[in-house]
Amino acid sequence: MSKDIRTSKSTSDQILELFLENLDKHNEFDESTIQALRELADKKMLANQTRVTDALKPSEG
Amino acid sequence: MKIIELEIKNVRGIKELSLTPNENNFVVWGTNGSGKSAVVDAIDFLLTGQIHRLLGEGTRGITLRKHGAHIDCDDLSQAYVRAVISLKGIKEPVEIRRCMQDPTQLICPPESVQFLEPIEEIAQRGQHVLTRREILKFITSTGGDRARDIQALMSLTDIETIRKSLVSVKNSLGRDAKRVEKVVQRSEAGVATRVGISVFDNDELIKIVNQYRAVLKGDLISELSVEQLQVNISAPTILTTRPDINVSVFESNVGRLALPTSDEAQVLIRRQDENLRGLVAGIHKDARLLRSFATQNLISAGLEALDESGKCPLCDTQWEPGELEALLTSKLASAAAVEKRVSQITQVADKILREITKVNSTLGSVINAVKIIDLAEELAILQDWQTGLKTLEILLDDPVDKYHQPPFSVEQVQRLLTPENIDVISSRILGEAKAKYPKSTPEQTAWDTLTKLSVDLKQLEDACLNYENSILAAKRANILYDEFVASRDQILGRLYSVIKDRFVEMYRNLHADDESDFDASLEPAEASLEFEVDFFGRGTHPPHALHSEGHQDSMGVCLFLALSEKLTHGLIKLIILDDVVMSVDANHRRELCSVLTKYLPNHQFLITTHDKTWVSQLRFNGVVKFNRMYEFFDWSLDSGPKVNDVVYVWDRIAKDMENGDIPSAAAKLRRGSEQFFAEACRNLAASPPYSSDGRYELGDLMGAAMSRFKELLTMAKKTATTWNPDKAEDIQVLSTKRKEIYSGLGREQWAVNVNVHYNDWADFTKNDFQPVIDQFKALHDLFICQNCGGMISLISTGKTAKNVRCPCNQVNWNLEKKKHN
Repeated sequence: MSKDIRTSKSTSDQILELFLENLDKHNEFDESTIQALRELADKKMLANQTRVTDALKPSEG
Repeated sequence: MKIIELEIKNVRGIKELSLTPNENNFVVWGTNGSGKSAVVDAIDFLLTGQIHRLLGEGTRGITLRKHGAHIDCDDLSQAYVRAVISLKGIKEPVEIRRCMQDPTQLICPPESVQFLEPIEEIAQRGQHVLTRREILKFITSTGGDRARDIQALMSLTDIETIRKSLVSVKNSLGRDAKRVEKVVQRSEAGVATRVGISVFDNDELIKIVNQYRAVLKGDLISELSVEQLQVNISAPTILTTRPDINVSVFESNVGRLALPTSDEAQVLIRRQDENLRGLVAGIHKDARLLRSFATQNLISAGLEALDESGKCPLCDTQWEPGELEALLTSKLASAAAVEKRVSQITQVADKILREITKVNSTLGSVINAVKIIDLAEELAILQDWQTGLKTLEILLDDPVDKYHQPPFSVEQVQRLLTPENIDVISSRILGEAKAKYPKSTPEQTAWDTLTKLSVDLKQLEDACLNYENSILAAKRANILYDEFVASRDQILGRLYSVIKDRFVEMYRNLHADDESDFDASLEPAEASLEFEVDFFGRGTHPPHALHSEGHQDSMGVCLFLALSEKLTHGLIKLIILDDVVMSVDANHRRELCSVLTKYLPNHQFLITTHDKTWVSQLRFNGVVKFNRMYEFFDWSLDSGPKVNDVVYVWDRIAKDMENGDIPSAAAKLRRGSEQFFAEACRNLAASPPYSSDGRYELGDLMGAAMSRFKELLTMAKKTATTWNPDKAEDIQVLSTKRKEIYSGLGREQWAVNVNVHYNDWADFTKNDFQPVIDQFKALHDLFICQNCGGMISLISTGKTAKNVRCPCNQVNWNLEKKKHN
């Protein structure tokens, strides 16, 4: 019940958790991209445009 | 967190004040200007280091430092708020203190810091204080303001910041993908030009490559790639030293320089150019179209910069969320004509640009060779041509703005700025090359062409890979944004649904008499939070559209309580209701008491009011005990408010009697009893004799309450035996007591009935009046639960009287017989 709003998690945290979970269902996102986004979320850096843009770009090669 | 003790010194209008609510609900009441709100300000200051009433709109020039402390307090170290509080997670009470000298520092025991931090954060958002102004915020505000305010309560500003950032990421990666697509197109044109075909065609290219490979005895390939191009073939070994220039390739390139001057090519480009000039001129001739085009760019940029708050990104004007976006979108749609024209123009310009790319590709190779051959004059002419083409490219990249009256004539453009004497130049440079360098063998030409083609192909492959990556990144950015908004809406939707259900439950309870089927909807819609309520089964409407002010106040309180319950996460149990029931009528205030005790029994309420009736109701309906009611009066600058915590009317009467002040005791007994029996009539649904002006004397109210009490007790007596014998005995004891008290009042009837209106009590002696007080006290006590101090109330379902209860349920008379199976 991680998404249960009755837990003590803040509303923001619940939104971010659901958001990151939902990325899994898209083929466009590989594991490393999701991991990079999770790290940005953990570091409260999802509002950093440069970091998010870098995370979305496929790795070279 | 609940307050056990509160000490306020030199804060706002208070000089020195101590209250001891001891975790219980408490009321601060008094006339306007008596200093009630200073208590709210002091608690605000204690928990947040701010006094939020001094912030925001209309508070310019007001600062905490200047206006937080008492006006006469020069030593800010002597302006402070101290409290002893109970904290979830800590067994022992904790003492906290905040001083005006350093408002940022909450002084507290170190071990309590981790427990206090989340409380301070919630308090900053004001989730525990409801003022009348706040009610308006929830009820009458626009959907956008409501969403913003409630989201601020939930501390969702970081979520909005992320959303805005994701919009920028999405737009930026989208633009990147478009830019890279153009690079691919140009690389394709370069490859096509290299082998002398006009349009990039994979099959055609493989065919030509295989022809070159055949010259070099290579087998056929079926896939066009850098790796395959020269696989299994070797460079020709006929020449011991390779010339700097392959004359055959050079000849072929030079030959292509004149291609734009062919009649066919000139007709084609001229047609495109004339078309383009006409279209651009058309926009520039039509002022409306031109303005539309100019604003279209601005509108598009504006649309990108819009955020969900609805604020204009240019001038900060606040719009309803979605309204400005809708307006801009409609403006863009109305500019469909110009959009269509611009699209046409871009397409035509792109056709000319593709031809320029081909020429540029050949021209670049030729210029490199001419540099080696060392023909300065011809080189200068060719370089001028190249520069001209670059200028033309720049103009064609932004045709609407830059191709209006271009610096090139139609005749120049139709031959793509090819120099007039290109045949002469070509002939001269080719002659010089042939003279200086031996003619290449077909094998060498094939090899050189494939080598250069492999460079071009590599460029194209890189561009394609880059394009694929850009498209993937752009797709990801779109998904990222969509999922973010969907997740936000899903979580908020669930949260709003829970809050809405609780709100509806509380409101139905509060308005059980007139809106027992009440319903509401609280739903996020785009950037706003739409709040609509049912109006007596006639569909849903905004809460302030049809409901009375009193109903709106009830809704505001219920919505706030539902929000507060959900959003304080059980950390702050203190809820402050600062003068919030102004428009709620007496009956519904009584129901509000029931909502507070029923739905939030473990919270601590601080209620401020100027309304004495509401104070009585709070007491008689079990919200506040009499020793937690603090009356503020006679505020003065020097002393602050005087506080009377002896609000128990009988103590005050006793004091007057002690002082021999009979008139004052009589006045208190009369006013107190009027209030008491008015409440008793409301609680027991007693009907005093009809009064056309709605005003009642004590005799009317007391008589009606006494009759009703007797009537209900008789009903309870009849049913008690069907429940259990103990109950029947209790009721019998009470009934006997009632008879005695009523008889006692009869014995003192002469005194009770003085002049009917009790006006002559004031002239009594102490000995005459004391029995009257005693009889009234006994009568009052009949209506009060000796356990909780609350007044008994009749509970009905529709018109059927069910039982009589006190707030703690210790008094509980069943009025219906027990049903036996």
